[in-house]
Amino acid sequence: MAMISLEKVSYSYGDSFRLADIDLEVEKGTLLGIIGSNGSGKSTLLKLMAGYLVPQAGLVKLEGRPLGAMPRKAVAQKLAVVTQGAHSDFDFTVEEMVSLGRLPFLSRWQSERPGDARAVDLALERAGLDQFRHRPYKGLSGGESQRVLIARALAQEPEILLLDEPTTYLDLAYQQEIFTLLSRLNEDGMTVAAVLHDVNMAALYCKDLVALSRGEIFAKGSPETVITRENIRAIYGSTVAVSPHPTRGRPQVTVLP
Amino acid sequence: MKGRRTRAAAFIVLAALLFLVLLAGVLAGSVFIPVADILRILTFSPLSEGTPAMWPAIVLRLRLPRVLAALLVGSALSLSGATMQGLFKNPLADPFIIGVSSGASVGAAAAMLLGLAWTKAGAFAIPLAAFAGGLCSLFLVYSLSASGGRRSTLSLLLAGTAVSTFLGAVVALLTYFSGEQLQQVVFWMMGGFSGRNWLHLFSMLPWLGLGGGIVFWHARDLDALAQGEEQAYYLGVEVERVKGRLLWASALLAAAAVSVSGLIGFVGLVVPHAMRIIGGGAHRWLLPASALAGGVFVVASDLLARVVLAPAELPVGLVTALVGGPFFLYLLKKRRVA
Repeated sequence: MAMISLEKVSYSYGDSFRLADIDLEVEKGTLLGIIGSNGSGKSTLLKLMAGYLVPQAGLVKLEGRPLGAMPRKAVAQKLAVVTQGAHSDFDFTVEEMVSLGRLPFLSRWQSERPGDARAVDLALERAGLDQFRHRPYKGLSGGESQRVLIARALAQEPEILLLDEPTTYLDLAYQQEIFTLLSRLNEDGMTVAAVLHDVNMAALYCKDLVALSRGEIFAKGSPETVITRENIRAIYGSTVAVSPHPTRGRPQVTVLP
Repeated sequence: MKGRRTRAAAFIVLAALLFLVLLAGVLAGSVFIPVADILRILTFSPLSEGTPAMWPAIVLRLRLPRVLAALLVGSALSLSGATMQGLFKNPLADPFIIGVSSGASVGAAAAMLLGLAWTKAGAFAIPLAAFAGGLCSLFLVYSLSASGGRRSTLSLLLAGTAVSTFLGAVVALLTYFSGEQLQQVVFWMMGGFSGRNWLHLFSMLPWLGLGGGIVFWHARDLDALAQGEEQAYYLGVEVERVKGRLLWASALLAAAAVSVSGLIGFVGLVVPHAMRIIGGGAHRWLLPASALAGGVFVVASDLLARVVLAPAELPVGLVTALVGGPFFLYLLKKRRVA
């Protein structure tokens, strides 16, 4: 069953960019990677899936219901989004930031219930932030603040998690850590869809891939079907060799200078 | 660390300070009344033999309403400032950022020029005109900034600046032609509490209750909005609806406050900023702390304004800016070092 489905979705910014006639189903339980060159429409696609952008044509559905017609709180109880580089000029502690993930479950005036505190604790633990609980969010490094945003999304106890380039600007160890976390969440039953910059990481960790090129879906399917020499050349314009990963067998790209 | 303990301690200190400045505010004046007698008057206890008959009237009719008006105005301006800052995700926003002050000034100046100040209803015509002017300017900004059902914070800020500047020019024009009322107009724009009575206090109370209630009701949404509108949207906040409510609520607070006191700057900017440094940015702390500290700040400023050149009085808006300005710079400097 599809968690999110896009039916003939189109979106354009002025004349310069257009995402056209996208048909896409994000299956329940998948770990989907969305790849493509800069400006191919990856982030726009994610914002459409999250409901933040309203398609100019076509329909986005969450579990079969039109997303645009659902109350925001109901959506946020099922779907959490981790955006890129969200910073704030205000002082919040890590715990306060993560507690915001409980907002869709609380009515106004209501104070946090034991269940909310448990969800926050669990999210902090899963993201490896136990030590950071009382630290100010503002002073954290890029990798740490990214983990806080992921923990906030986990506190929403979502069925589907959308992420926009969660590993960009992070060093190798942090990248690995975040992908390991996403894989583990996925194994526990969470549907995950992420816009990814790094083709090799995407091929290594994702179950399915969607490759965008110039606002259209160029290829979709298993990493093996999407990551081919011809596709990479068509999508990115780069000349590469594709070889299996030494231990996992997933296709990996090597740039040929 | 900005834990619960720091916040609890800050509330206790602020409450104690508030009690002290309120008492000092009632104590200060040309007629000296001993503290013991003031407390007796305030608690309606029987007075000792030989207490001058004027004392209860001085305390209850002159000083108390004035001090309480300063308290409410300070609270309202600080709450309004904290809300605007969260809403615009900008710690430099203040209650007047969308033109409430210039709108209120046009209203007040127009009422003065029409000579309403000298009529019997004058004491209320000016607050009413200022209140209406402030809300009109928000209405103008609010309608000008809409496009396709959404109002981006940027278009709100731009429309606010444009309307503010234009109305500022209208105020200047009115001031230019004000003739005999010149001094009155100028004084109003520097803010003050002299001659404010219980009716002034009660006339702003419902608006402060309404605006304050709405703002407190949305404390968690403000936490989310302070992360940015897209983030708030993903956390389940109906962004446009909540933004509209908070904008009107904070304008209501600012307009009601300004209608009674005249323009008092800096409070809405400095107080929430200081409270953020003490206890962090979470609005369930920030809003009540700002309301309390704002009250303390304006009551203390009014006290200073009355005492420094006694028996003459300084405009309170001058004092808040003269004290608040350097304090704000000090905070900024200290923060950069920390």
